[in-house]
Amino acid sequence: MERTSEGLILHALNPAARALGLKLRQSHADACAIVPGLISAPAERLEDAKALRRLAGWMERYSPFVSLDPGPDGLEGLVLDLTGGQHLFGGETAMARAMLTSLKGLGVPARIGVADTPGAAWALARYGEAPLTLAPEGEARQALADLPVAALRLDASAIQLLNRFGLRRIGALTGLPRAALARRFQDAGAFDVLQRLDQALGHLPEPLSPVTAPSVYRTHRGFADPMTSLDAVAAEASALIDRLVLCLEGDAVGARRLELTGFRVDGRTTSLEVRLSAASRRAAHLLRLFKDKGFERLDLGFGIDALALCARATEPLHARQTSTLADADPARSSARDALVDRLSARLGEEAVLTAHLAQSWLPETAETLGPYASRSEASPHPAVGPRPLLMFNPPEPIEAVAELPDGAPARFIWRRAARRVLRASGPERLGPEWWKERGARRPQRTRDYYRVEDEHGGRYWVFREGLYDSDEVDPPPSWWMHGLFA
Amino acid sequence: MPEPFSLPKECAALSRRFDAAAFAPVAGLEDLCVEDAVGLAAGLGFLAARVRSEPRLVAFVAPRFWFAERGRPYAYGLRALGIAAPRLLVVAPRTETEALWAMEEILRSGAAALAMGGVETASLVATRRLDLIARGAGAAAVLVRTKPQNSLSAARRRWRLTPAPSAPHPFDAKASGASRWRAILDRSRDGAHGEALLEYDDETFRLHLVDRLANNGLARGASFAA
Repeated sequence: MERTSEGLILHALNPAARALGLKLRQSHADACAIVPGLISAPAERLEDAKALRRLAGWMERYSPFVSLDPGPDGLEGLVLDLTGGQHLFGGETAMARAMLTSLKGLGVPARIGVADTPGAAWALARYGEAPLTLAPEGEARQALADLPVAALRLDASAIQLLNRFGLRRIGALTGLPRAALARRFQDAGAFDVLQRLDQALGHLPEPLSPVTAPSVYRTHRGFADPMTSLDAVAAEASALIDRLVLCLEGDAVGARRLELTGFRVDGRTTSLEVRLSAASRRAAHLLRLFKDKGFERLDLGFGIDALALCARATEPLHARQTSTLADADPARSSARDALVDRLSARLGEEAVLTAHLAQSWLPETAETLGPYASRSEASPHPAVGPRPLLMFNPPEPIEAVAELPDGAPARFIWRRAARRVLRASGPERLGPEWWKERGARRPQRTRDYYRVEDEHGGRYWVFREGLYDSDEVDPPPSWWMHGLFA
Repeated sequence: MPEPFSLPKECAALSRRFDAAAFAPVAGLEDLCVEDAVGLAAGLGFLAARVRSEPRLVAFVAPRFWFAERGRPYAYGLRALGIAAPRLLVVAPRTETEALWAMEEILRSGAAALAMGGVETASLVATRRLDLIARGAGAAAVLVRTKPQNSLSAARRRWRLTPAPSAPHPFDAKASGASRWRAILDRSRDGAHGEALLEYDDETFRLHLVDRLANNGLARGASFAA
C-alpha cells in the first residue's frame, strides 16, 4: 500500500491478492472490506528503484544498452536494445526464452515483449497473451491491433475518452484518418494519443537513455557453470583484456578507464574499475592494475556466470617509435605513468599527487597538490620572491611582535615555542586578487611576506595580513606562518 | 714498511674518508634524523640538493597526517633547489604500511631518483627490503625519523640534519644569505663518520663545506657537485 493524496491505496499485488479480486490503485479501506484478513506492507519506492537498477545492471549481459522504462506506471519495466546481438544467443526467440528462464530462476516474475519499437514491445509485454510475445520484424501493426488502447501508454483520461467513442482496440485507432483523430482530441490528450501511436508504430523516434552508457570497446564472455574462484576470474579477465587490447590496437586508441563486471547467478552484478594516468593498451600493464586493485574486491556471491570488460574512457594512442639513440625519455615517462597507475589503483587517485600550477599571485592558489593523473603541462607563473620548501596550508596563526608597525617581526611564538628573529628580509607585498574575489568566503587582504631566521638557523616564511596605515575598518593585522625554507 | 704513525683504535674510524664522496647519493637506504618541522625543511633541502642533477622523479611518501603536521612540499621551493615541478610526486596514503608499500613500488619502477618516506615505525625487515630494492633500481631511499627509534634499521647511513645560521648576505647585513645545515653522519656501513657544516649555493646548485677543509685538508675551499 502507499500513502497518497487520496488516502492509502494498493501499490502492488501478489498473485494471491489478484486471485481474490483486488485491483491496483484500489483504496486500502475497500480492499480490507473485500478481504478482511488482508496483509499489507508500506510501499518502498526507493528500494524498488534500487532493485530495478541492480537488475538493469545484470541484464547488461544480454545487451549493452539497458534503460529503465520511462513509462507512467512507475518502476517496473526495463527496455533492452537487442539490435545486432540476437544471433549471439541463437535468435530473438531463443534469447527471450533464455531471459525468461534466467529471470524465473532469480525469482523475478517477468513478461517479455519483443518488437521493432520500444512502444510496441511495452504493449506486448503488458497486454500480450503469453508471458513471451514476439512481433516479427515489420509486423508491429498487426500484433498491436487486438490490444486495448491502454497498451499505448496513455493517461487515464485519454483512455476514458477513447472508450467513450467506442475505440477500445488499437486496431480501431490505426484505421481512422489522423486528421479526424486529432480533431476529436483537441485538448491536451490529442497530441499524446497520436504521439504514442506513432511511437508504437515506429513513425516517431523514441530516444531512451541507458542506465550505463554503452561503451564502444567491450568484451564479454559467458560460462557454462558459475565461477566462484577468484583465480579463475583473474585468468578469464586476462583473456578478456587480451581481446580488448586487440580491439583498441585496431583503432589506435588506449584505455583511460576500465571496468570489469561480473554477472552473478543471483541477479546482481559486481564490478571493479581501474583508472589510468595515461592511455595504455599494454595487456600486462592493464592486468597488473586489476591485480593491484585486487580481484578480491569482487563479491562473487554464489558464483558468476558471465564476465564483461568495458573500456569506459579511451583516448587516441599512436604507436611510438622508441629511439635507437641514447635518449631514453619515452621509456622513462612510460615507467612513470605505469608507476602512477599502480599507485592510484591501490591507494586511490586522491593519494597520488603532484603540483598543479595556476596563474595566481597567492602562494596557496599558485600551486596546489592535485591528482597526478589529471596534471596539466601549464607553464609556471613567474614567481618573483623566494618560496619555501615546505608549505602550511592553511597558514598557521602566530603571535608576533614587530619593532615597527610595518616592519618584520622581532620575535614570534609558533607552535607554543618562542623564537627570536635575528635576520629578516622583505617584505614581498602580495595584493588581494580582487578580480577573483567573487564568491570568496571572506575578503582577501594585502599580505606582507617576510623571510625570517631565528637564532638556531630555522628559516621561516611569515606574513602579516592587512596593513596598519590603511583607512580600512577591518580588524587589526594578524601574523601567519606560511612555510619553511631549507 | 711501517706506517709513519698510527692512531688509537677508536679514532681510526674517524680518520677514514669523510669528504665529497660521503655526501654523494648512494643507491640504497639512508636514515635521516631531524628534530622538528624546521629540521625537516633542512633535511629535505639536503636530500633534494643531492639528486638535483638526475632527471628522474623526486617522490615524497608519507601518511596524510604527516604532511598536514609538517607542511607539504612546495614545487616553487623545489625549483630554487634546481628541481622542476613535473619531477615532484607526492604520495599521501592513509597508513604507514601503505606508505612503505608505495615506497617499494616507486623504487622498483626505476622512475624515481629519490623516494623519501615519512615513516616512523619501520621494522628491520621492511628497511632491509627497501635497501635491496633501492640498490637494485639505483635510486636513493630515505626514511625520515623525527622520534628516537626502537627497532634496528638496515640503512647504509644515518644522517642527523639541523639547520644552522645562514651565511652572511653579501649585500644586506640584516638578511639571511645562503642556507647552511649541520650534517652529522653518525653511522655508516663504509666506515665514514663525521660532522660538517654545509652551505648550499642556489646559483650553482652546489654544496660547500664551510668550517673545515674538504678531502681531509688536501684542497682548500673545495666544493663538489651535488
